[in-house]
Amino acid sequence: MGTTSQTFDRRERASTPALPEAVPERHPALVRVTHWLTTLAFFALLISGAEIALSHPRFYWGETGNVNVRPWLNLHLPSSRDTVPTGYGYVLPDANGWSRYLHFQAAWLVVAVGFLYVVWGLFNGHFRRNVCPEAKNISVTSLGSSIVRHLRFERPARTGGVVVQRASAVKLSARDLRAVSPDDLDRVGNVVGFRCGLSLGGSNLGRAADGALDSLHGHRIARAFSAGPHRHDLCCWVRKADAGHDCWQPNQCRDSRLGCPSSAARPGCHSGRGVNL
Amino acid sequence: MSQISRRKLITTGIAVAAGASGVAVAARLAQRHGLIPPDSRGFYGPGETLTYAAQRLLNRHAMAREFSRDQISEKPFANEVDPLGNDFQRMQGADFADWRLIVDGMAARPTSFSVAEIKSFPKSSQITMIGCEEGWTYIAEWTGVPLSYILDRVGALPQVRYVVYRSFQPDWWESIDMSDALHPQTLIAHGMNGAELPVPFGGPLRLCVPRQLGYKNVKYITRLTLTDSLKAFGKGTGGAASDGGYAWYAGI
Repeated sequence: MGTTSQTFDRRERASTPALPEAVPERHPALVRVTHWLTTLAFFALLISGAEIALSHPRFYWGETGNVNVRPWLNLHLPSSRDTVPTGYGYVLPDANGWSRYLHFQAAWLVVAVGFLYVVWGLFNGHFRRNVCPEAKNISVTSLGSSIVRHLRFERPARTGGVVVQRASAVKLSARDLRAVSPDDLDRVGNVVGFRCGLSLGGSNLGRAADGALDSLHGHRIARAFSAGPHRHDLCCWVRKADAGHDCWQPNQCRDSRLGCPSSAARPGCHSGRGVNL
Repeated sequence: MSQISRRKLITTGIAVAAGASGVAVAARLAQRHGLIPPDSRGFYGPGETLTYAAQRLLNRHAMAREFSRDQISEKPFANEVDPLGNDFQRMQGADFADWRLIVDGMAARPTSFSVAEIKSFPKSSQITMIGCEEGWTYIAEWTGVPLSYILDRVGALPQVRYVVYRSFQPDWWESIDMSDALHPQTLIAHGMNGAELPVPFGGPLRLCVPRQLGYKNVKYITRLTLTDSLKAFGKGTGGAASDGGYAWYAGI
């Protein structure tokens, strides 16, 4: 963990001139929603496509092909049609009706979601700000490390396109959660909102998606912490071991407008970023 | 409530209202212009409607691909046919002299034709591919009378929207819209590859609609019914296949 936290601290300091920028954010709600809808459509296409292929698990070269013709590729799988010579002594149930329906519907979902994403991304500058790599990031090393981080499922930073910095924030959340004991929670009074800075925007859609999307990153645990009697008080406080200080910091949070407890109620500290609580 | 959330509330409300009214207007327009398929209800309705509407908006008059004579499949596959029974065999023995094609429904002159009459009508031939939804295909030359000729001859009424066609096999019936029914490549076929249409391939008469998949190309046609609504036929989805969970529109 030592290495990880050092890496995190260095990265976050390097990329964060001020506190609001210091907290890496989640992808915009529309990016997350379109992403998971595309994922849903992908698996629908995959499953229904496989079902359709099973009705004739043979592939032909040229314009036409049928069971009277030698196939170019025979998958040697059982089929849902008894007209196909498979060598298996049984026939699978016919699933082409719903499979074809689902296949086309999923394809339309991809079209609709893609249209929405492209229009939204063009109009609000998402592509310009977050997708197109900055000039300094167009290099073999930068692209290489970016690919590696993606393969590790680390999260990208909010800014900088290709450069991935957000990953460390997720690790921070998990680490800090381990550091928070029930005593700590008592100590900070009614601070129950613990959202780990992975949110952006105030859309209800994004909020609804939160719990589902980040359960693998410790975020779900954070949500559990926030489910106390003061749930309305969704000010975000994060405990950070930073530059030798053991302190609580306010976290940028879309719910902070609901009203944060006064700083007097917080355990104070001087963090490396000059935030004095 | 803060100003930001009020603004969000208003813009979201306007967007939702605009979206809902847009969908309502689109639905009315689609209904009027025949872009809603009969199996548009249910979970897969939206995708099916989009597919059918997009095809009809973009490809209403498109032609199915035609092939050269040397591309005709040497080994076409007839697919399996349920036993046709004694009545069929008796008619086959008499060279289908007793076979009738009934044309009824919304026609000025409902009638029935013998196979000989059908063969005496103007012929059209085309070398097209028949593709099964399972994934196999063959190319053949089909010869027959364009369905549009039959509709013209019986005086199809202007309000006809679908042609329902039935097979000698009672479980098989389908329907097509007027875009396909009046299409020049849609035939009542009685010949294949320069010979009589063989019984395994649908003889004496088969509906050949090369813009749609094999299951719409019903064999052993005995009856055409012209109608403006499919609600009264079967479960109301427009065909045996769609009543059985397949898409009514099987455009390629």
